[in-house]
Amino acid sequence: MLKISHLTKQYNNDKGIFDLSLDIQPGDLYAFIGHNGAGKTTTLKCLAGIQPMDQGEIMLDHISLKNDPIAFKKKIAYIPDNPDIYDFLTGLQYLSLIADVFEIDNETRNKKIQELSQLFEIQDALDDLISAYSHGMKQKLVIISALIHEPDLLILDEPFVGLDPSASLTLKNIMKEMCAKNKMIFFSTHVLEVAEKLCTKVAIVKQGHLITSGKMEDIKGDESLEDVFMELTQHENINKSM
Amino acid sequence: MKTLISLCKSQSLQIINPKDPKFLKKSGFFFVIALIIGGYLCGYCFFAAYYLSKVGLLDLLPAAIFTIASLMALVSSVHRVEGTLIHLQDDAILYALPLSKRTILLSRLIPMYVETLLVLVVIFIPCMLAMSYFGNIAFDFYLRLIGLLPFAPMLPLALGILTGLIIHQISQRFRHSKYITILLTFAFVFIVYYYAFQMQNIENPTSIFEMISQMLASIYPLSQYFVDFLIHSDWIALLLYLAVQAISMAVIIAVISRTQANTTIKLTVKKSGGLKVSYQNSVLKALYKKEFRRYLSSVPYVTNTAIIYVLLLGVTIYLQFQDLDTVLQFLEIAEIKPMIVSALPLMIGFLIGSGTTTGCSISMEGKYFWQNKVLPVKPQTIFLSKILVNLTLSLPTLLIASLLLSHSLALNLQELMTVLILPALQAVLYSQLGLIFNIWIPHLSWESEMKAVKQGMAQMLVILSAMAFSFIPIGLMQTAVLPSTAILSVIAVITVIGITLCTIYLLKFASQKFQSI
Repeated sequence: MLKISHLTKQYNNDKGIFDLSLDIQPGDLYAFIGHNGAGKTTTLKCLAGIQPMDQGEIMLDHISLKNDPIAFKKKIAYIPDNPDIYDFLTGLQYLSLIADVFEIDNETRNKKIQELSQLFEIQDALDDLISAYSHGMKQKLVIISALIHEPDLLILDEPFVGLDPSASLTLKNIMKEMCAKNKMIFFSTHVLEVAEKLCTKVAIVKQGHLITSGKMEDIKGDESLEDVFMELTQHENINKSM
Repeated sequence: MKTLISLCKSQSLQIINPKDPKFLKKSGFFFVIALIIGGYLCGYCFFAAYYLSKVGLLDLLPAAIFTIASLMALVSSVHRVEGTLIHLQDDAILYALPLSKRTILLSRLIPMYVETLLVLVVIFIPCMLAMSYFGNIAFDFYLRLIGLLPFAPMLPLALGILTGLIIHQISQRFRHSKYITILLTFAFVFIVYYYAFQMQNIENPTSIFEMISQMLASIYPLSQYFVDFLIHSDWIALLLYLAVQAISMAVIIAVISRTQANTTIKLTVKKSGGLKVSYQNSVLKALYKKEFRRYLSSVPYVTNTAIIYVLLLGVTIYLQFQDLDTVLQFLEIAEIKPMIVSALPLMIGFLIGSGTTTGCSISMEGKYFWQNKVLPVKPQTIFLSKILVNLTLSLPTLLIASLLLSHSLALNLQELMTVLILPALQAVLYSQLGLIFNIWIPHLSWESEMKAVKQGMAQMLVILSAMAFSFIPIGLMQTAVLPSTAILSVIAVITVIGITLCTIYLLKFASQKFQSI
């Protein structure tokens, strides 16, 4: 289980994320939604260990990110919104680097690379330099590198941006399969329809504060997620202006 | 014109921006570094002026400085073609705007010119101070010098850019274009320095003054016009000087305006015959391989660091075919040979330090840096991989150079061991220092790799440290207060203590700083 307790990270411009607490259970497919600048990426970066947090604690299966970051990171994978990966390597060299870092044996890595590269249809490009890849191809490579060590927690920041429809569908299926195997997925998105159809749980943030979180059906009831999201965020505005 | 000014402004803002929260810190660093470099240059110029004035050759100082500075400008402008003039990350943005190719390229050429001019001015100020201190120099000399300087960067810049463009055009025809660029750049630099070392076209010199004048003119013919106007007020020489400089600049502007804009990444897709089996490496080996590939993938990174090692090897090979004793006797300075041998470990140490790759190894991660934080790897392992890449380059170079020098200078075993061990220890220290400086002062948001390599303060600090570790002891050797062996022993002890302290810092404290980047 992932337990985020009182996570706070504030930037100089007063933006960030404030006192966020959230639990993600095995098998959860958790959507994290909010306006631009609401603090989604900051939260995901704190979870991935990219941004040091100001306050709070993040625990994954009783492993603290603060106290044992290496053990924590071995159990997670992070897919950023912008696939800035080592473009001086070929696709295969990059995947081998990730496999080496996660200490995956030859047999497993070859099997996984073959399988995932075929699924995402980039097997023919793996011998090319990443600098020659399109944005979508880079995104596919990052996804493959994130899945290669079968993480317990997958953190994704706007994962469907730049993917072609086929790759998008493949990723959705993989996400569902992972949750069926009791893995956890936490991802941010602006596409509310995707979140509504795909996810079991949802958290909505606004200006760095968690407005609501819980099971998808409990949050949205009979309405669409879009209506609920607009209602909640506008309601907050009204409260503030009053 | 307005657009051009705006573009030039945006280029300069990438270096230093008053709205940057770190503006004051950066300006302070620039100021301190400028002071230190100015101090070093003053020391060098006053030292040279003192000896030249003693033998009545003080007038040669500006010509020598002009020639050396022009050669440096030529070589550095070849490096800067890729990364500054072409292949910038903002190509995609700028070429999509309604701007002419000429305006875009000029907006990159002008900052290159200004930067080169500033370097020349910084080099000439200590020269002028030293000349006025040791010589009886008329006021109009300085006016003539100030008038000549703005034109000085033009020819070296034009030749350098032309060479860089030719290298770029040739290398683009190959799949491994970056390696070809690196090889051709090295070949060019090697030819330039080889040519500069040759004392050609010197016919029956009647004096050392004439011999050195002829030598400088044969290296760089414009130095003759420069000196003729500066010292002898020869107006025809001035006209020729201005004409050559201005025409060269006009030609290069015309050439780059016609250069094909390279806005798209060249797709040199290799046909793959199925997936190759990827073998498992240890984490350190994997990171080392990644780091080495990153190093070789960047032309500015390689040409600005490995060039020092290539030149060191080049000089040591060259010395195999020269009789150093004869040259020293001809220059009437045969007595300095023992001093050269004593100072050799320090000079080599300085060169090894100047080629350190770790001073910008964190900055070179740029937009990829996030991966270091996400992966389950201890920062210490990342540090070690970066240090090992540097040592892979420096230690074999050092070994070959030492063995060659032991032959050409007839070093005994003790001297050979000193030449080998002290610089080897310093290579370790400089790679650690470079890394520490870069962890303290990273520069990840660069637009061009050139900016991470050339304008990185960490890289500058490691070079300054290498200068301090070499030139101060060499200066002390000159004073003969302490025997050379004692000075070298003290430096060796300081180096070992430095390595120990840096190791402790990297193992215990640097991780936190690294994580906060």
